[in-house]
Amino acid sequence: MTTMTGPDSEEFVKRRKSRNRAMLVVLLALCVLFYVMTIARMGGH
Amino acid sequence: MSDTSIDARSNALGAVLDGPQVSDYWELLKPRVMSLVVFTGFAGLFVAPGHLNPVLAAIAVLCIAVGSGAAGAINMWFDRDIDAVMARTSARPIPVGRVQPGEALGFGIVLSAGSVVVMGLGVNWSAAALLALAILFYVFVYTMWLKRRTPQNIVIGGAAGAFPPMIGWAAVTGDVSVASVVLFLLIFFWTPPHFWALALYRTGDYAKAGVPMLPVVAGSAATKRQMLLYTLILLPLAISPWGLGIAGLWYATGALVLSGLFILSALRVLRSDDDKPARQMFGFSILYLFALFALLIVDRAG
Repeated sequence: MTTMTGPDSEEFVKRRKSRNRAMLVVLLALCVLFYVMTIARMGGH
Repeated sequence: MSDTSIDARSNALGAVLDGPQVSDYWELLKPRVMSLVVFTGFAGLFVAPGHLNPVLAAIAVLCIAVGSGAAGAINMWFDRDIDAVMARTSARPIPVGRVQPGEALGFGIVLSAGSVVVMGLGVNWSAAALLALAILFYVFVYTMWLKRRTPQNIVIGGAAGAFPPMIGWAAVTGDVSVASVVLFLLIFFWTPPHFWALALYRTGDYAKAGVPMLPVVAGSAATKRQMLLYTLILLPLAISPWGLGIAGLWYATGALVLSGLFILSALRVLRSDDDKPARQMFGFSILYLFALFALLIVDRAG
């Protein structure tokens, strides 16, 4: 049975999942950022 | 107690127990402040003489945005007690309980350090040093030291918000020049009339929170006189990019008209006992700075 609030609630799980997804997006974006930064610095200077 | 107030309370409690949402972290970055910072930072970068790889330029603007947001998050961590009592800020994520104070502090510190390091590695270390200085100034000098102690808090603290065009400029040239200092001074002298216009119609809020804003300490008449003084200083300062050769006659004409209107709005505030002119001046002050930097960009692009 799920409780209305707290660690067992549906809302809690939903929010944790969306935070995890956001973290994934940030980490992937950082990979892309460092990649394009390296290419730009190697080519331009 | 009515059913609706019980519902409201259980909803608020639910929001706390269910943990923060992604949007709460976004709110910690003060996105509205960030938009002005990004814009002025970009303007500095755009009008600076020289060339910067567009990818690196975009990274520089991103670093300025993230650095400014990070400083905002640390500010919200430190100011959580006064934010809770002021109407304008009481719904922020920390006072409401959606984000834990320590979490906001960690978030701010990590993003601050990250933005400075990326700026240094990707663009140059002069821009990174200026970004670090701006963040440290906002957190330590404005938030922790001046804000609660002196009615001149935003005059000196405003310097933190004046750094972005200088950082953008340094991203291109790698140094600080007279022209970039002028862009800094423009925002520096714009900040007091901008914030005091807000403080004039929010005096009760600031007094309740114990923040010694000028209208609370010196009264509205003295504040209005000082606001007029700052708008008068802004007029020659706004035209000076033309004198320094970083903008043309179109810019100078626009700057003259905008600064004239800003002085007029300060005069209206001075002559009125009503809140309305102050509200209008606050709105116009934002438009003024946006328009001034937009003119700089257009002039340079043309």
